[in-house]
Amino acid sequence: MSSDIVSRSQRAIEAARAALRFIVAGPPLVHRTPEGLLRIDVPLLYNGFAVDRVHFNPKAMSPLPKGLPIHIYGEAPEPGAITKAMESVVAELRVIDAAEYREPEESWAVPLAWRALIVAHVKIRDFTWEVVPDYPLTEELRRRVT
Amino acid sequence: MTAAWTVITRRIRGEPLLSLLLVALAVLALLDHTMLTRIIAYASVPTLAAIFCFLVASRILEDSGVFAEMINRLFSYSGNSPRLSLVLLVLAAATLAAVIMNDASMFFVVPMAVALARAAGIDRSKAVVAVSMAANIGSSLTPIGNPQNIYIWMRWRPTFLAFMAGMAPFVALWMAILAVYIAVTTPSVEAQLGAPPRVLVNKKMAATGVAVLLADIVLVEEGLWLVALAVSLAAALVSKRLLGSDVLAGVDYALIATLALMFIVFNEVACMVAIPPISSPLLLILAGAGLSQVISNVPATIVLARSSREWLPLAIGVNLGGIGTVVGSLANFIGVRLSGVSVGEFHRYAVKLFLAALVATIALEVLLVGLW
Repeated sequence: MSSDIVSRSQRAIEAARAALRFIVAGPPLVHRTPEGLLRIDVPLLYNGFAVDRVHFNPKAMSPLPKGLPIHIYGEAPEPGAITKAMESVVAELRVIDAAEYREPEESWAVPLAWRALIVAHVKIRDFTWEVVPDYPLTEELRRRVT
Repeated sequence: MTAAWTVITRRIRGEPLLSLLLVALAVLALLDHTMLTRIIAYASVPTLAAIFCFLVASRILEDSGVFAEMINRLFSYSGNSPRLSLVLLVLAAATLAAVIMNDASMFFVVPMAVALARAAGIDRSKAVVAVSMAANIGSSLTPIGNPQNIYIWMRWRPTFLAFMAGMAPFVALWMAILAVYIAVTTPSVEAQLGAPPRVLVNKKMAATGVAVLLADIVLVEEGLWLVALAVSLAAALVSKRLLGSDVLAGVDYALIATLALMFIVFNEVACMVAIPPISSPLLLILAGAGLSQVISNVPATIVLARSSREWLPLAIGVNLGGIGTVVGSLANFIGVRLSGVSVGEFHRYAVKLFLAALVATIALEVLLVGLW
């Protein structure tokens, strides 16, 4: 059982690593609260779907760790500048050699790291090793882009 | 009620084109009060209903993951050749756009084009222009490929197959030009691409999407758009109940509202400007292609439809107009937004392609029909 679950996790990690070659940064999603606070997320796209969002720090023009979005006052940077910064980030992303299991989706959440931060996850379906899209985020992206 | 109004006004504020059209509508209504009596006729409810039906079918198919799987399979055939990968991606873009609308197909092909360009060291803007143009060209083939084709289909009512037969020589010509563009601009290098992992595919949803799409085509062709509307709504509800996908929430209502306003505003503008009938097919093609570069191809279709006796030259012109500037087609705009390519970079290649396609189209039209 133990070796089986480890090998399943390893297969999910391999699938995430193969997917990473085709993952690109999408257009930034700029949110503004009614109080005027700014939050920027950048979706990671894989083959027509968003797989996760990266929280973005517009002051430092770099990603934030997953779970720590920041809200700040001020104007959002040019979308082109964010995309450019995120391209370098995506080029530096690496797959962590460990995964956690998400029971509701029967999938492995494989962390993606940038430098010393985990910035996103790629979910890989257990046994079929398919990439699991983030459907609500994909919807949001499509709505914003069109 | 107040909360709903707040949501609607906030949504409208977030849609610059929709807001602009609302202002234009208000100005036109102030200039001529009688315009308000023509709104329903201008809005072309059957056309909007047909667009809604195809958006529902498209959304079911998109969410099923079947298109992502199709692109994955294509990539696995390309070996280590970026050029072949781009050719296959372009074919995928054209095929998808002919089945779902060109705008929707962009979400599948643009991220893969960017990834391919990065992996193979190809200029990203060249790859994005190639797939954007392929989506526009592929969408030209069928009456359901883009909103202007649906408008033309509903107004002149050519059969689905007659539409395809009329457009096929021009689509083949434009694809040939695109193939030459790829051959010239893409280096013949090798790159370790590997096969992308599969995306989760929901087969029941894919089957539902195909069934709804086929039913909608048959019903809209027979003029039974109300039945098509009922079928699409039922399929959306089935998708939600059985498959857990909220298709109706995912339909782009802002796009439908924008198109409705475009139909009203540009029909009124066409009435005011009173463009004389254009009897020369070649002139109509040139007018359609040229006007699309400035005001986009859907408004160009509406403005020129009143002056056109035949549907085919208009369809050729406005679809040719989608190949070119970012303004020419919404698909181009989506390509730029999704990829982060600048408008200038996009135009550097797209305008050359447009000019080549324009010259070739004129030559083919003269060959097929004669000069006038």
